[in-house]
Amino acid sequence: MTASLSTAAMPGYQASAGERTVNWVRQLAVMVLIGAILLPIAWIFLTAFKTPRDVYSISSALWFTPTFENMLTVFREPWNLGSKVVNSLAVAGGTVLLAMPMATMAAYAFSRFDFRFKQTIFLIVIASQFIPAAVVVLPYFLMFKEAGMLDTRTALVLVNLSIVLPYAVWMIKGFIDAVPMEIEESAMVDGAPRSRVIWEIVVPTALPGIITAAVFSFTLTWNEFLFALIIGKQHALTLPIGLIGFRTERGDLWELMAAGGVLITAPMFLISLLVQKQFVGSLTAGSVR
Amino acid sequence: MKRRDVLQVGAATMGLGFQPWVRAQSSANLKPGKPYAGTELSLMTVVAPQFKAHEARLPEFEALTGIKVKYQYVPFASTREKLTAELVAQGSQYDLLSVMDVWGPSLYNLFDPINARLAEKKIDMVERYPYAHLRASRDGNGNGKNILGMPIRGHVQLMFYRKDVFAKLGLKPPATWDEMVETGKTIQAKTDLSGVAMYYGKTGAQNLMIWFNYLWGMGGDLLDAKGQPAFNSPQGVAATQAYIDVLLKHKVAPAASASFNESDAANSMAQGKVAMYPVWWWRFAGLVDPKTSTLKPEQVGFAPLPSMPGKDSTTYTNTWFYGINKNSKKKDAAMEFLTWLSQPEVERSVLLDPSLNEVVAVQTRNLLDGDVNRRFGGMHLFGAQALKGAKGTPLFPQWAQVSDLLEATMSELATGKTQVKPALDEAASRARRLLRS
Amino acid sequence: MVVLRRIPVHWLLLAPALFFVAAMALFPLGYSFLLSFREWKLARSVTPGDWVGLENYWYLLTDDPDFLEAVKVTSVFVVSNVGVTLLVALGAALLLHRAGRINTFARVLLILPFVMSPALVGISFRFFLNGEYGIVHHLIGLAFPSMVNTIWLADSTLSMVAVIAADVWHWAPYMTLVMLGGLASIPKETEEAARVDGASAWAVFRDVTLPQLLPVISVVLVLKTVFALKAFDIIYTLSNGGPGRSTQTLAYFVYETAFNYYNMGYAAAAAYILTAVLLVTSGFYLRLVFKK
Repeated sequence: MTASLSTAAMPGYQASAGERTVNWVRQLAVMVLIGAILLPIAWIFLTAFKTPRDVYSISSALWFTPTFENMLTVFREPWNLGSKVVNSLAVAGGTVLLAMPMATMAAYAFSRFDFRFKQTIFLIVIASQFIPAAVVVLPYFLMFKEAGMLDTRTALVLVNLSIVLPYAVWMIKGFIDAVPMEIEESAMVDGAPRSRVIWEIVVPTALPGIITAAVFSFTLTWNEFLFALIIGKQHALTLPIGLIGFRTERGDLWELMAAGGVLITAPMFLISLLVQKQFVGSLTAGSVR
Repeated sequence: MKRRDVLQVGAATMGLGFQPWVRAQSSANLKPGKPYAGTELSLMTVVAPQFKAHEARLPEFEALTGIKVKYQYVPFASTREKLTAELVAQGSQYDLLSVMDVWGPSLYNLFDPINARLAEKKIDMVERYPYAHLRASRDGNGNGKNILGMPIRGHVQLMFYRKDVFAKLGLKPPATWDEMVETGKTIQAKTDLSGVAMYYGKTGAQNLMIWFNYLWGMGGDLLDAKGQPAFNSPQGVAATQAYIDVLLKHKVAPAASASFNESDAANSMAQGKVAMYPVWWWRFAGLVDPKTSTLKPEQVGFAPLPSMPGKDSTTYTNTWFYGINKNSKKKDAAMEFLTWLSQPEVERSVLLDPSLNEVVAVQTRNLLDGDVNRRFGGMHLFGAQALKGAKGTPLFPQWAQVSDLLEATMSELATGKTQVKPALDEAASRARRLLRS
Repeated sequence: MVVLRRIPVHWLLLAPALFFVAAMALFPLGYSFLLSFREWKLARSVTPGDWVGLENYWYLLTDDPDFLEAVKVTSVFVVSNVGVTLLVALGAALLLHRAGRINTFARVLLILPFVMSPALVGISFRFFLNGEYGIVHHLIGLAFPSMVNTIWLADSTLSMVAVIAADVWHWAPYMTLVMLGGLASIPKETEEAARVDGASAWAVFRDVTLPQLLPVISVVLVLKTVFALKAFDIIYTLSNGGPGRSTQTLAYFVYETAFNYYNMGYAAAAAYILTAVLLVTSGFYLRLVFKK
């Protein structure tokens, strides 16, 4: 990240009273931000370790006997969150791995070339995502039924690819747009084939964009619910289906849902730590130029 | 009056003595010789303790017939979507499907009528099931010829109340809705509990469940003889006003009731915040389980739902049934399963299972059974009595939309920002539009 | 391959993505679009019914008070949602766009709300606001004693606030990340040059930072608008469209019409009206983007 104002980095610099107040207010604002994000998550975390009796009471909000029962229950029958997490990882991972190369190539094409109907094609690709899922899910179901692909993870990857590609293309295009063309052009004048140019020059520079698109695509697929519900039956059930399963006739079993939530958040927190390093690294490299 | 006396009186009133259960062998008329051995059936159902108990008994069925049944659990909140997909694709992903009557007769097109099969198995549906549950499994708005499935889960409404609080204050469970308000006021004056947990929030038409009792109790109805909206009749308006007044005028429901759904109200009762709770009988288990409730079994009493003064109670009931998928290729094997599952003995064994607190029963014989009633303090006799006068879900095609309209109206009325008569009139005119199509 | 060399490079590059999207989406989109011109009520028939031309559209726009109410609710929801998200994301990005342990920690947290399932967020917020045991209800009651007895989800306005708050909580942190990426790609030199020239912090922001941030802001704007218009799970689980119909958006309306009322043709028509609106607005946006 770009560092704070260069004047402040000079040795012997004394902040004025006004600047100190501003800094103090900034710190407070960041704390408020952190609090706003963490409070709901912390509450959900606490709920995961309460018995239902303690969940629905404010007096046992912070003082309660913790139990691991919920975390264990969600892995057992009939919830089986374990297999659902595996499926979600497979489907989301597969989607992202397939989507990124395809999207990068298409984004490059949209960014660097001018051709007839460019705008229209771009609009149509994105517009495919404007239709509310409720209305297209049944035709998708019919399609996969004909192909004999119901209840397969492949079908889910295919569906999610078609959902995710428009956004990925759009995001990556934005980042490629920001990269000046001169470097590529001079490399090609020097005789480098375009494929090498893309791979060795454009991709590294647009990496923050590709990572952004990858994270976005992964999350969209991770949280995708309706298609997974309709297409899955037994073998291709994903995590969101598992979570909705906790809405029973008896009501929302919040303690079990929270346990599921903990299972989602903890690994994501770790992944975010990793990606941050990459993200920050590329961003800093990008801003130095 | 002691409970035992109540039971005797109740049983006598229905013209039957206590039914001593004769331990009979399996009464199911299964085909001899295991002709379908090796078949695998797929049943779509939801997670409920009752169904889990059924699943636990499957090995018995497999031993008898060689048929393997796979229970495919679908999230309760998403069952409609799965059924719609199955219907539209005319698929055979599942051989057996479960449907709740409140989801509407559209889904009934999924099923293969089983009249001929029932005759072959010599199953007498009228003898087995109360009319209120049986009608839900028929086509033609409940009056058609075709029977589409076996009722498997059906509910009766009861009034749960805090026995200890009532005993301390010398109160009796209310017999009429007005008495409920008075009792509520007494409780609120003398303890820090609220009177009654109502639920006016908009969730799955739950805020209509008690409202129906008010409406029918006052002689109103949803539709008139011509099939036009009648809930904004003078009786309908009075009934709705009385229903809403419990919160807004008499204030004997906790303020949060305006946003409660059924399970919020259950939690309120289970946390000891409220003294009365009118709801489905199966909520009993959650109120006495130490994991979900702060109450002990001896604190939870139940009584029939109050009624309008001078009138019989007209309660609401809903029914689930299991039916055979029209497109299934294993219909005969599926019928074997339904025959076995719907035996009175199976239901009874779940009711008497000491490891469960499962009260759900749909068969007349079990509702009147002596052992069952001894275990649950006469709840099932109350249930049988209530079912006699019970009205089920309206089964006309536009019900889903009308129900949505009404539940939105109720939740809005509970906020206190609209008036009953104009709101009901507006709802009626929209309903008229819907019914035209 | 000789043939490949004849095909313009850009088509080769576009082909995989384009072909894929076309192959997957063509049938469902075509099917549902054609369906909007037919009547299909599952209660009456298992297969689509008669062709009724523009009747579905006509009814929706002129004779369906629920649809029009949903349009109103949606407008309020989308405009407020997108506006608040944008402001929060921009503000938070500017806040966190500097070194420091706390800032780094905050940045790591930013992805978390986004990866939680919208249904989980909706249900959790619903419980947070419960009048008897909700933590948020409780805290607000402590901070503002006059609100101790306010039942959030029993009030139309507060329900809308709750739904917007939940969706902002879900998305704004991620949008902050996107904005941070945008801020990082602005060359430091331009800002420093302005400072050296004696411009105030606000002027630097307004005249140097903001213009260079415009592409990212427009991405956030359009992306959030699309997803706000499609938001369903979070509203379904938080307020169920209530009280009354005060939080019933168009996406909710389409879903209910299809899966609750089983009126498939009508739902398709409603969905395509929504799509048409999005097409028009994004058409304008694209003209801007491609002008550069």
